[in-house]
Amino acid sequence: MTLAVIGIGLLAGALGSMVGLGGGILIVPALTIFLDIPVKTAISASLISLVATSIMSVSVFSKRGFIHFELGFYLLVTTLLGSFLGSYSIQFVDQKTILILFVGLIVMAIYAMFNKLKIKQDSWVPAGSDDGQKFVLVGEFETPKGPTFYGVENLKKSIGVSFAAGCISGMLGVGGGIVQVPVMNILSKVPLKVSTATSSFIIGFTGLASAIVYILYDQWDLRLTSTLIIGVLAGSYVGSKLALKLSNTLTVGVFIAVLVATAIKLMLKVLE
Amino acid sequence: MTVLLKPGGDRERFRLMVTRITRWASIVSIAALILGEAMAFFEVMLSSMLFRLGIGLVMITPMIVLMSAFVYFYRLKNNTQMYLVLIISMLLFMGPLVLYFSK
Repeated sequence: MTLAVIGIGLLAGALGSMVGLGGGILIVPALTIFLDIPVKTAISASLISLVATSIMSVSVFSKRGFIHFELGFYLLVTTLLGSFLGSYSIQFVDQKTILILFVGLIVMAIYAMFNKLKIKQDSWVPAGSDDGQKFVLVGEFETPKGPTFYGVENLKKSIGVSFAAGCISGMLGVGGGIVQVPVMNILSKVPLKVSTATSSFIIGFTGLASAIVYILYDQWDLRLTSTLIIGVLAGSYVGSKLALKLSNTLTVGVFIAVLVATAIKLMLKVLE
Repeated sequence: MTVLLKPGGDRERFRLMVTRITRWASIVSIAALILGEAMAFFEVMLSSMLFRLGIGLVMITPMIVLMSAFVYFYRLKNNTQMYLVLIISMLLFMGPLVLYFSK
């Protein structure tokens, strides 16, 4: 059992970090399908492992100055609210419905992955020292030419959409990155690296908030969570190293194949 | 919203603080979890305590970061809006406890 949990964490963590989506989307189905763990216990374990991954990545991203803390705190309010409502409402939903919701999420992730293949350049708005005045928030981003300033656009809209990210995270035990990263990058015109780093920062808080709800409702297993964290952290480390060596098309392609297989397996479990 | 936060200075200090907190928290929690796993393998009683220490540390770190941000923005004194955002976030963490005791 221990080795199987570490293996699942390792594979999910590696694949997730290679495509920048986090391992949660694979951890929950894998624990449910292969180890027959109740889906809510799997979600709580996934959420706590997300917090651990977030802490680890924040230490790296923060050192490099990629996290926009003020933007993160603004988005945190609605994301937290969403994660509470999501994790609380899922307590009254049966296992089958949760698995069907998960299949829906996987379809959404596959669509996001195809989009990732299409987008060649991320969109962000450079802001000069004078332009800075017209933005609510301004950030600094390190480019090969030196530090560049960017402005955060549509902050209010991003704050609103973040609620959905929180709901998904709390309900299904995945990081809200699948929603939050495109929102920050496309809607707020924040550089992709900053969006990913800031999303990792927020996930730590939302994961914790949702995990508290699951713990309070006794949907938690100490041993499973501890073992899973070790696997996921090791996997994330390996994945981040592999991502530098492998091509983007290959990693995204493999991830899509795994997602499709997971969705089919989940549907078969629902129909059992 | 009319707040304009310019990068540099105080932000840099906050960034370093967050880096330090998260780095140490991740090192100690991973060490505790791995040690706990090793002890569980040899069926030593202490393993459960180490698991709790590791996970407890993981779970308390975001709260420490939030509290640090709270103190940091309080000391800046010119950013009421951000201060309010942090207060709301902290209050939201009370949400599940309220739900639990009211059920």
